[in-house]
Amino acid sequence: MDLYRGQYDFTNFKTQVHDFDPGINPYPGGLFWTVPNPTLGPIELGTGTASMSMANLALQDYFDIPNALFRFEIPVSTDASCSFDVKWTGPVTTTGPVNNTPGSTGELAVTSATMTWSASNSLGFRFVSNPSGTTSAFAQLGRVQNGVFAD
Amino acid sequence: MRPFVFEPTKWPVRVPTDLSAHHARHALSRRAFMGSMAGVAGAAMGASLLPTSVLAARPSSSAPKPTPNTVFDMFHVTFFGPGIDPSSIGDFNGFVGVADVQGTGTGTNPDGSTETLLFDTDMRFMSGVYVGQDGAVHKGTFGFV
Repeated sequence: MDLYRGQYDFTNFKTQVHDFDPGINPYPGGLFWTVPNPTLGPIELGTGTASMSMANLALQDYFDIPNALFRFEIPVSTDASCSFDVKWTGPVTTTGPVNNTPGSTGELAVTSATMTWSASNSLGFRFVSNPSGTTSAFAQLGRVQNGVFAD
Repeated sequence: MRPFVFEPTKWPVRVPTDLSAHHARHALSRRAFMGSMAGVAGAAMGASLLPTSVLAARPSSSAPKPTPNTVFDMFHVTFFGPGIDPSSIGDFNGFVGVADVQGTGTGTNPDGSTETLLFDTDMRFMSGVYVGQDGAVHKGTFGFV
């Protein structure tokens, strides 16, 4: 979950001021930004609806994506926590196969999503998202099989 | 991680190339890759076919294994998009969801000042069955935050 001041900068990240993520465990070849046991609501692939939430998840603020990946700032990160509620709202606009990842099969439906979230770090920063006016830049639901489960 | 254009040479702080090269060598060496595949193959064939020394060294964690797909040849993650498996875990069969949502919110700084900030998120879930690091099949739900 990334915060930017003034405008997005997805190339140089000069405007990014916070990057909340659970880290890479173990670094650098382990599970990437992955945590167990989020709360999921019903997943309805036909209507493109689902939900995921977590409360008071302990994670880190790495401040920006380059540092989250390569860990060159001092300090690298600070303790943080977040809560979030993601809703996939539908409708499904397109559906297609998983055909662009070697070793994976499945089917994915493009849909829409909204999200509310909050976070804080140990340095005293807090953030609360505005529940209105969010943009679903990309949202997807589906079923996949990879590795030993792939066809 | 949204599918932005990764151009590390343009980042404000230079990526430590010695660090990345070091980790790249160790994170995805052919031996490490083959080792992980040997574990999967062993689980599929049955433990009785494996020598005792391999069984003793097998990790006991039920945690999932990272996807074998990598970014920069060192981070086990994929971008998302049409036709792309967004799973961050490997040997997985189940439901997935991706939400790249943008918006605004209020940041409160340590000095009490407030400002409007833009947010961008890459939230995902994976819910189903997977082969854990212990070689056994487990059921679980994971979030990508």
